[in-house]
Amino acid sequence: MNAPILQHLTADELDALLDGAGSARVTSHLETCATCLAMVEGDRRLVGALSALPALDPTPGFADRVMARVTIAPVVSPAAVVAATPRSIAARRRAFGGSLFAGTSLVAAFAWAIANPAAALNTVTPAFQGLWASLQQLMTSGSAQSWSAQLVGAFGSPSKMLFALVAVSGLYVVALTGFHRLLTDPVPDANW
Amino acid sequence: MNPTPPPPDWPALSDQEVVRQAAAGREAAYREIIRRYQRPVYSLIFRMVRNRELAEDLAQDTFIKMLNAINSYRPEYKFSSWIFKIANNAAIDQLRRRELDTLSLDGSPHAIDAETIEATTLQIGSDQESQLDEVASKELGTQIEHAIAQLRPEYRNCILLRHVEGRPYEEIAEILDLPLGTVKTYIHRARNELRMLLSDTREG
Ligand SMILES: [Zn+2]
Repeated sequence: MNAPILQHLTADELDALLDGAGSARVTSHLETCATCLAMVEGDRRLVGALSALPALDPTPGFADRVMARVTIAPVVSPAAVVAATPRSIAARRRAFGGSLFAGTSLVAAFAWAIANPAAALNTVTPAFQGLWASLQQLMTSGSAQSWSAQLVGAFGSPSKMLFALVAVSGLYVVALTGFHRLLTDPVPDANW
Repeated sequence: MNPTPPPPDWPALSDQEVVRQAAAGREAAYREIIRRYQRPVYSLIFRMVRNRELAEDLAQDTFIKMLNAINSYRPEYKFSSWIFKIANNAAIDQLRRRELDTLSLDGSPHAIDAETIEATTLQIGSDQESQLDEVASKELGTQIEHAIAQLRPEYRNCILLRHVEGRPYEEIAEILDLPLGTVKTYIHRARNELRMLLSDTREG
């Protein structure tokens, strides 16, 4: 529902009128209201005169004086970082291929380790064995309480698998995160 | 070795493209930015501070600050908003420093005292003579320049950006960090005040 004709023009209606758009209500109100008509005519004259004000020039040589104090050399910037990420399709394909290869290799190794736990342990864990032996020693000698016994039971032989699992999953996550970052444009600093 | 690319047709490029060229280290792009914006920036600052030398210094500082930070420009914003924002901040800081205009605490539209008006008018009458000579050919233009000088600064920059520079409300809100509604209100009030000031002049 439109506002009644008797109501004076709102600021928005006046703005619209100055931009050359007036509703039927505005037109009929202006026919009956001298106050609003005077305001509209005054604003029209004013806006016309404001937009006719000349642009002013600084003194000659302004650009040279500015340039004398501007450093042109491009510094390390967000734009440069964006430019350093692989943007061409070929570069992105290579990065994606690398990511796929790393991920698939890790999954295959993990699946094989599940299927052949004994062989996997022999292959993967010589490095962990020393660590595990000393850890076990520490737990058994440190306390004879039931919680440590349970822990030792749970970690007995499959525990080494757990180590391998955690290590492999960690590597996979690191690889995926790395390649994701490589493939995603960094967001420039929000500093203004 | 890549052959040197031909110089771009600068006036045909968008602001964004010129800024990209500047960020890549092309001096000609810096100069194109100055060429495009020196008049609107200087005009805005001059009409804010009403002093030619001061306006020139502030306009210079605006460009130096902006061009030295060209790499931090974010293309999702309008470039003109960025430079007008820096220019307006420079002018407002200067007005505050010199206390040329005292903001009224009671929200009265006549924010500057008689002494300030007199000082400003004298300044316009003396060292701004040559600048305003171009304007003085039109009597109404001169009256309007004087009337604008009497507005409080937050109305003055709004009315200048809207009706002299022709910026849309949304951009003015971005430049001045004000809600859109506040910008509309300020512009509406500024027009009312200018109308009254001009009718006073005509009657007087
Ligand atoms: Zn009315």
